[in-house]
Amino acid sequence: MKKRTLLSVLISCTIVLSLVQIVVSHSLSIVGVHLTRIDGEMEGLRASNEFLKHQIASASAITAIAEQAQSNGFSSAEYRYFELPPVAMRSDN
Amino acid sequence: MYRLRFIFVMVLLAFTVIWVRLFYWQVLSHASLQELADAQHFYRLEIPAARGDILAADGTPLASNQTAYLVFAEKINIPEPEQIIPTLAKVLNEEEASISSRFAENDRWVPLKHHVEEEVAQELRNLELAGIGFEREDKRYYPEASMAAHLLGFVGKNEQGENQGYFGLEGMYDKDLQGKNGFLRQERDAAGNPIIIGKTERIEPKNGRALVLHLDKTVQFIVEEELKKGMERFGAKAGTVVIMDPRTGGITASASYPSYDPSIYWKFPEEFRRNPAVADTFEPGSTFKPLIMAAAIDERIVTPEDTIDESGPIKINEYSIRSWNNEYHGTLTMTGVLEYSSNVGMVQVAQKMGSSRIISFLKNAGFGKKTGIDLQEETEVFLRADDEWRDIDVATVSFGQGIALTPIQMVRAIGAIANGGKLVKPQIVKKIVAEDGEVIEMKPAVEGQLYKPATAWTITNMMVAAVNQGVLKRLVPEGYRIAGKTGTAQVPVEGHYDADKTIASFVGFAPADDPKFVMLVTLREPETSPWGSTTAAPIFFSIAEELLTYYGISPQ
Repeated sequence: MKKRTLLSVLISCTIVLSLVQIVVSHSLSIVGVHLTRIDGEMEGLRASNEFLKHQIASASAITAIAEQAQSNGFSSAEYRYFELPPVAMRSDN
Repeated sequence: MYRLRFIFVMVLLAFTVIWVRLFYWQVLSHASLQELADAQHFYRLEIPAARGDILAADGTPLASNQTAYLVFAEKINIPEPEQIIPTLAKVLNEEEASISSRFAENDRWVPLKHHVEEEVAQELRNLELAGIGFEREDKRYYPEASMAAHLLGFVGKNEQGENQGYFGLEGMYDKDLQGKNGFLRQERDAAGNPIIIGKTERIEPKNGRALVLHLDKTVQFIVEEELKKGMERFGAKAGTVVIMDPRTGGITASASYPSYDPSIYWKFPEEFRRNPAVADTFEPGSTFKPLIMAAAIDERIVTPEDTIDESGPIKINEYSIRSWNNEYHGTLTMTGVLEYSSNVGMVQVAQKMGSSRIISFLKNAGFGKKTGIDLQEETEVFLRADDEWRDIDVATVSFGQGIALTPIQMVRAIGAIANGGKLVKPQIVKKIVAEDGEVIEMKPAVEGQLYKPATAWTITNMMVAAVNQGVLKRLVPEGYRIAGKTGTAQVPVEGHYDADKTIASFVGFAPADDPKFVMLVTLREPETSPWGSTTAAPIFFSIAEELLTYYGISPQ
């Protein structure tokens, strides 16, 4: 009786451990797929960041702004105005 | 018995052969087999380091990186290339014949186009053409196109096919900008996915350091626009403007024409690539006079009120030195010598100084050696040996003839008048910033006291007087004190001076009482007039007027 119990416990353990091994192996192999996907996403985001950085640099280039200003009708100032520092005034009150 | 022995020997022999073979495979061939197995299990990738950005003083990029791709074809996967060639040619903006010729090559893998931008690559990806692949191949990007091209330099390929900076900052700081590539070695399964419990070695790339410059984009833009307009107006063959902050030696702008676009540098002649501000020399002519005059005042040999006689040409041995316009003014003060740009007066000052003092001054002012500016192509201009100075050489150097110097040397020397006598090292880079936040500040370097502060102030006033006299007076923006000096030097050709070819120049600083900038303008062979006062000076004052407004300096 004792022997049969021991045998059935051993068989159950073997089955459970085999299943655990299958599950763990499966999940590990899935992690590899996830890692590949995450690497791909990272590369995509990096490329996208660089592309946006490039777009911003192009749009904010002083030469591009000058061209845009000229096409919008702006030109160099003919007269220059200077803001003088405040001067202390005497109050007559 | 014999049979048994025979079988025993045969078995022994068979086992020996197996052992020998196993020894061969497992010991002798271990390394090569391991390598073969690793090649199947391990994925290797060099992770490229991003080249560091070059940033203007306000932190906006002057040089950066742009994602680009090498588009290639795997011919084995393209059964009928003729069907996709027209589409490829259209999207890649290439001739159909050019793409066809690539397909005609014998290789299985053929490159179709390098440095294809993200938008174009995406358009091709969307077409889902079989056998067409993409490999990342970043390229250098200059958002301001050709602006400050001579300062920036460009990135090309070296003999090993690797990216390398040439000329300007790209060349000078190539090692800092390049960074160090990383490396990934990862065990992967048959599907190419990483094995999480497998071996992984990863060395992260060390991206290049960023350079933050003293260069102000707005000032650079003003300078380039005005120089371009001025060169067209005066018909000059070439022109250079350099602007330096006299307190720090920081170069806020530097422009030269003709120029080039660093992103397509190969389309321009090679001689356009070097920076004339540091690589070309010129005879400074009269712009050199304030330097010699300052040296004479500093040594207490003359004072601004001392007088000389300018009643006619002056004889030096067999040579006769005339005034620039053949006009003579009789008795002149030292201030008058600068105002009238008197060669005769300067020769008399040089004679009072003597050759040893002049040579010593030239050396102290840094002529005869590099300024040490952080640009790759700075030229070393040598002074003649001490015992080779003849009387005529000492005489002519007093009015800027018979001496060659680079524009940056001239700006630095005049900067010493503007900043109270200190000879500062000109610098392009203000700081170097690493990816991990480490900052290396390039502190201003004072290399010596060229003049006493009182001398610098005296000569400043004499230069202001020189500007407020004659044709220059109308150019000076109202309400400002600007110190300056014109120069017109003939171009030496085969041992003599060509009377028709001149280098017109103007050097000065503003505001004279608290200078914000020192500026040199040079024009090579202007057609409308040979004189610095009517060509280089108008450009100087146009730029100065814009800069005074930009810096918010109001008129007095």
